[in-house]
Amino acid sequence: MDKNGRPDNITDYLTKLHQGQWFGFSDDNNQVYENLIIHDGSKSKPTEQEYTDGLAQLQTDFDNAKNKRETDKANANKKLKDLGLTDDEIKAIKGIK
Amino acid sequence: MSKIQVDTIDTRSGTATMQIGSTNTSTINIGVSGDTVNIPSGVTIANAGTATGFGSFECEEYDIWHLTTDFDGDATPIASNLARYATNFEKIGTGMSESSGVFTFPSTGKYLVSFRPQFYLSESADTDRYISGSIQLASGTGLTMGATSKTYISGSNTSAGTYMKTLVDVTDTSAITVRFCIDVTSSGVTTWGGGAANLNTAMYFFKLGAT
Repeated sequence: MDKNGRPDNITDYLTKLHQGQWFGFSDDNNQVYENLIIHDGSKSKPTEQEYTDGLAQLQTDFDNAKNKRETDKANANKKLKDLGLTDDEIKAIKGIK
Repeated sequence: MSKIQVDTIDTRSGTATMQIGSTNTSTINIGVSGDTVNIPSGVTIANAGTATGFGSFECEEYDIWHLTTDFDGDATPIASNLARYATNFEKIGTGMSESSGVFTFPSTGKYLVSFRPQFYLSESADTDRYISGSIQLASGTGLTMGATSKTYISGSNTSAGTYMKTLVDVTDTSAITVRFCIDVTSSGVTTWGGGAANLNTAMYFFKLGAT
């Protein structure tokens, strides 16, 4: 994941597929699909397309969740202002100094 | 061989430096077995040569291993994707051996073993996720807890780390081993590996002395 927590690599996808240490890489300096190895015989190796689609879905979910939080925050602030609260009063009820 | 019997040897008046031994000398012996050599308070010993046999500490073994690949959930123990750390680091001594998560010491002695796992929560969390790391000691077939440490993560996209250490008296390298475990209360918690160059979740081994 990147510094903001947004999924951006193969392990972000694989860790969400199954619990535990079911996978690894033949080259830890190059953790890409081509080097993916499966430690747990009860788990199957996803296809590269499944990985690509899965990572894209995680990124979409992350972006949607982030957008929702920002939208909820903006809506909440607007509703509080519509009720007549000042910026300082809004900060106070949020615990912001 | 002649013998000089005096109480004090001193320099001549006006001379401050005394030289003991010269061009013919290769070894200087002071005292005999059972004697005490006293160095009074205020005296400075300035060594520009090599001093041996004074019991100074020299590190015999130091090693760092780490998790190279992320995983979610529990691991009892962390059994794969472990490697000796190799970025700007070189072990001192023989180093540890590892097989399926079981670490074997290179020689008997007292070792300081430390474990620092790092975690990340990428899912929305309605409740706190409690996470514990532990160092387990094996003596023969028995397992005991060497050290444990807990932390928790609350809220999505947050991270946490914890740290623990223990002293292991390795009297038998074939019987006494250590392993490292992760226990999480619910899913969604990733233990960070992060590739060959990153030291996110790491194990440190430092030999302090003899058993």
